[in-house]
Amino acid sequence: MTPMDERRNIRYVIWALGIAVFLAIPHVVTDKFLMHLAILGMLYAIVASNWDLTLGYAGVFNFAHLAFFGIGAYTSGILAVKYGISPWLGIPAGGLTAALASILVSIPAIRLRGIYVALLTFACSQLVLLLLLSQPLITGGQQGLTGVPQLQIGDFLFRKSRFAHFYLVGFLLLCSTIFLRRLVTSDFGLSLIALRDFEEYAVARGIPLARQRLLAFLLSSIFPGLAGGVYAHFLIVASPDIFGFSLTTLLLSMVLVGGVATIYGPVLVGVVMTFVSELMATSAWMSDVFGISRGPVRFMFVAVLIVLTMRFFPEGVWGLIKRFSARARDAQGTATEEQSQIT
Amino acid sequence: MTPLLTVDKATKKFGELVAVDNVSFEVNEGEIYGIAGPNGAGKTTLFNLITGIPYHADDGSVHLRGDDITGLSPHEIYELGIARTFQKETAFDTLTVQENVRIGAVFGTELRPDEYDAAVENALADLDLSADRDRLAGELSLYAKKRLMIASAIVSGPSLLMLDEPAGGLNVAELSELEELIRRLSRGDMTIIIIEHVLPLLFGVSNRVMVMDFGERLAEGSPEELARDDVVIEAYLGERGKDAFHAISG
Repeated sequence: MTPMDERRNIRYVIWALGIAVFLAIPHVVTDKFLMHLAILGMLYAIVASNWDLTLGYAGVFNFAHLAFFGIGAYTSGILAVKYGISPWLGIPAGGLTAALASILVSIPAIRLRGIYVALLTFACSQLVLLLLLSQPLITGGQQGLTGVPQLQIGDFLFRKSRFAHFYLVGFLLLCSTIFLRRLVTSDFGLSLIALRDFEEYAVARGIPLARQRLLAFLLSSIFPGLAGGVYAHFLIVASPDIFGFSLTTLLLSMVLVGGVATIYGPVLVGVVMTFVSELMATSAWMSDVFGISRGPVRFMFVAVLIVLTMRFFPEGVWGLIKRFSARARDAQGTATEEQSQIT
Repeated sequence: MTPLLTVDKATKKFGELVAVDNVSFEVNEGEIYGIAGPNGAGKTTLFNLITGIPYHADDGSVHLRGDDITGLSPHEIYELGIARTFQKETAFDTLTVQENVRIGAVFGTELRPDEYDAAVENALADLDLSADRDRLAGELSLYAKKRLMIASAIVSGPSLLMLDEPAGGLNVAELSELEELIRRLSRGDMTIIIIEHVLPLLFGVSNRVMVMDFGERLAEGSPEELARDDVVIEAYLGERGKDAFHAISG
């Protein structure tokens, strides 16, 4: 067996173990709050990992993906509350609306660079928020859109089950992750990396800058839009808080701490950070220790974590995991070589 | 016969500085056309104007086989069969050598997906990079990086290859290899334009050479003609240098 086959087999085993653990979680974890956090974490992980496609792989620093998430949430919510459309149609409509929004954002953004893209996408995100707030009769204004129906199939209500939301969101995260990994390991992914690493050289090799960046935004908007739709039906509300700076910072930390241009990093850290951040907001010990009220503590923690990551391990958690596994492989290779020399 | 490339009165200004001033020239199919000139003569700017990277000409036109390509975007120009290299050794450092070359094959070419792998392997073999295919481009030596840049340019089978100072920083043995490589590439149906400061190499491989100075076209002719041209010698060596050159060469 070649080392490459061996690595592939290890990957399959890790995937199989991961899926087995995932399927077992709702059987083992009975605490409703922890299950709630797990579902929320997976939804955020979808947004963070898709954000990584544009931010990490395409190297376009932007703030568009939370808006795609919010657009998905409001689209599905409004369709259900105001027009009585089934969530099972509303959620895909959320993905589609987010995709359309991504095209509108991309057109002015793709030819800009650096801070200008960040500013433009942040402005677009705020514009969506203001549009939603300006239509309180449809969107619920500052209070958010309440009364969003929960998910159900026939008479089976998702909220009544410990498994349903967890498996649905897990399946969505799995699909999103496989989709993103396929993208970044394809020729399309190569073109994004090439444009990020050396734009002039990349266009000199025939890569159409505008088309590839537009595609990057478009392809990374669909799953956040779908996740937004599920989020609204899961929490039975679509709230303007989605567009807030707090959630933006939290999701950005998932990408940066997880490791840019890795996809797996934001997925992993997306779930973990949601737990850490929510538990910090609800447990008293942090605020007791530091004498700060609970609300700001978690965001201070997130901010410090971003700074420390950028300073000490900019490759992020997934980069560290890769580095250690490469070191372990090298050590194993050396040991095997020494063994064969002895024998 | 229509020339492969026609540049007509190309001009580029940066503020008050005229980097390329009303330059015209033609390149015929299958020839190696050299461009020489001191630093700041406008040679690379001229390459930039032809390929649209990162800017186009303020004035003048560029035609490929008689078709106007002035103002087309860089990837469209690549699609039409013009591939260039850069003065500084350039590669996508975080990608492997094979991936670097693959990029040149996949985008803007007429190759079918089932032809990519073979085209990449051929280009790697042509440039003696097969053994390095799985290494990261960032780990390569200067000469290997320069060859990688050429491999990713020729993988698409361009009709015009534009080499910008490929010999910069190379040792004598590498220069000799490079000279042989350029000759080998031109034996196919590839036309080559080469900018070079290493005049023995440039004059050795080129059929015709244009000399530029201060953004203008100073002279054009065969290497033998230019080696005897006082205007060219003065541009490189100055007035006193020209006299010294004549004293030495008799």
